[in-house]
Amino acid sequence: MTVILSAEDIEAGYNSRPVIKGLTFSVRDGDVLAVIGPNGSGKTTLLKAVLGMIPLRRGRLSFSWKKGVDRERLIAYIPQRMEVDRTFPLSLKEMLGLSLPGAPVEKYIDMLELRGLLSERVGDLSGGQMQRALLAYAIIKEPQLLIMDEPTSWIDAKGADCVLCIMEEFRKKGIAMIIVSHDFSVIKAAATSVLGLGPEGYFFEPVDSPLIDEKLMSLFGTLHHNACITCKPEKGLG
Amino acid sequence: MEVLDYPFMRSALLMGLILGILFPLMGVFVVTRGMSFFSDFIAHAAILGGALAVIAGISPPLFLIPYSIVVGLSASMVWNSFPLSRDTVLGVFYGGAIAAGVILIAVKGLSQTYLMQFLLGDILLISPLDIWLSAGLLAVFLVFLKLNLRKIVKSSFLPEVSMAEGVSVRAYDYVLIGFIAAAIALSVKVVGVILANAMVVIPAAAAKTISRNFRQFMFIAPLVGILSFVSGTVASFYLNIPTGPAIVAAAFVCFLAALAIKGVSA
Repeated sequence: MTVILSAEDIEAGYNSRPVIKGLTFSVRDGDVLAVIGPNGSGKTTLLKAVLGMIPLRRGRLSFSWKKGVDRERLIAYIPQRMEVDRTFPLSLKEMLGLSLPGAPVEKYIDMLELRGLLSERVGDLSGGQMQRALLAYAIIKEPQLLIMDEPTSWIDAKGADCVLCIMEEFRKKGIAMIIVSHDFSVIKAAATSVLGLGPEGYFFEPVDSPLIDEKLMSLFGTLHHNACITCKPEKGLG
Repeated sequence: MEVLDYPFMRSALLMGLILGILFPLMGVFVVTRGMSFFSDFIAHAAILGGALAVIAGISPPLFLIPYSIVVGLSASMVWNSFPLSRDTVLGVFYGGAIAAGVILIAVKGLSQTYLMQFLLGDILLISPLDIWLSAGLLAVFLVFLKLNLRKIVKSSFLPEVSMAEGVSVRAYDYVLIGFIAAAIALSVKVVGVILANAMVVIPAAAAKTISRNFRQFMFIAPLVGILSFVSGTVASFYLNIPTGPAIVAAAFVCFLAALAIKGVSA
């Protein structure tokens, strides 16, 4: 397996405040890296640093992309909660067409139950439909690295199952994924490794590591719910 | 038609056809990227630019195009580089440019007629150079759209995602700012400083109100623009009213009609 992304001792933040410090991890093709941690631990900051949306203060990020291919084709990103201009006159079909010319739109619109909405103005879609539309926008180009920030937080259980199916299909195709999620059932079902961020530091472990529960307990020990992956093994596994 | 017997009216109608397409197409991105105040600022900053051109003895359109681009890009660099919002920076530059322009006009003894021509426009001032420059700008803008439309729309609708994918939202902002500044500079003679921005925003706003998709938006906006420029120019000839306000009034009627259509279909 090829290492798609390698982070070495990276530090990033806003103004003079570092939010993430000294992180080292890697993502190979077909990997699903779950980034977890309490609110304010730097999960979204990490994604933005990986995406180049905020500069690194220290360390190095290296990507091994396919040579000569545009970054737009290689990377896809679904933000946690995207506020779109609902007055923007754009049909769902047009929005999906913005992803990449020639992207296989047909392949995923049935899976995400969007076919009947293609001529609708995106501003008229419900919150859940919009989240599925954004997911479709990101995945139809089948990128080399898919980054999702809480992809199941705004969709129903059926939609969440679809996300898991798509992640499994992508994993088999060798597409690398980084996913921020608070849903341990999603992590348990889909992740191959976990990057846990906390106030005392971080850990980077394979999801089947015997140490994973202990590390999660130390990370979320102060929380009385979602303390352990093994507490909720059956929910939403698709 | 009597209106076509006069060379200045033929020039005005030709200019109107060009600007009637150019302005609304730019307006599509002005209204979707929240840049309406920016184009208004560029129009008003032309008061200073026009005064500088007259004092320097340079043809105003030739001077105003680079001047407006420089002023527009300077303002955008300030709001991108300092902890100030876009509307705050534009408010500051807006006031500064008008104050400096009016002071310059007073100090250099430029006539009130000159100021009024700038404020409200005068189709008698349209020269073949203006028409050629406008046609050239329209051609360049259409080529730019042809090559970049998908990425511009993407960066307007999904700016955060676009940045993540390596599409430079700021670069497209700068290019659009340059185009808008150049178009506004060329239009000042026709509709004047006060109303130039209206012809960028109103046709696009009318089209946005009734369009269900982007294809309709890109088609209806120039249609409203051409209708407004031509009907306003012809009305000003027969009713003996100022051309700029007549064009803007026609566009405003189109906007009201769009609201009515939307209201009926809702």
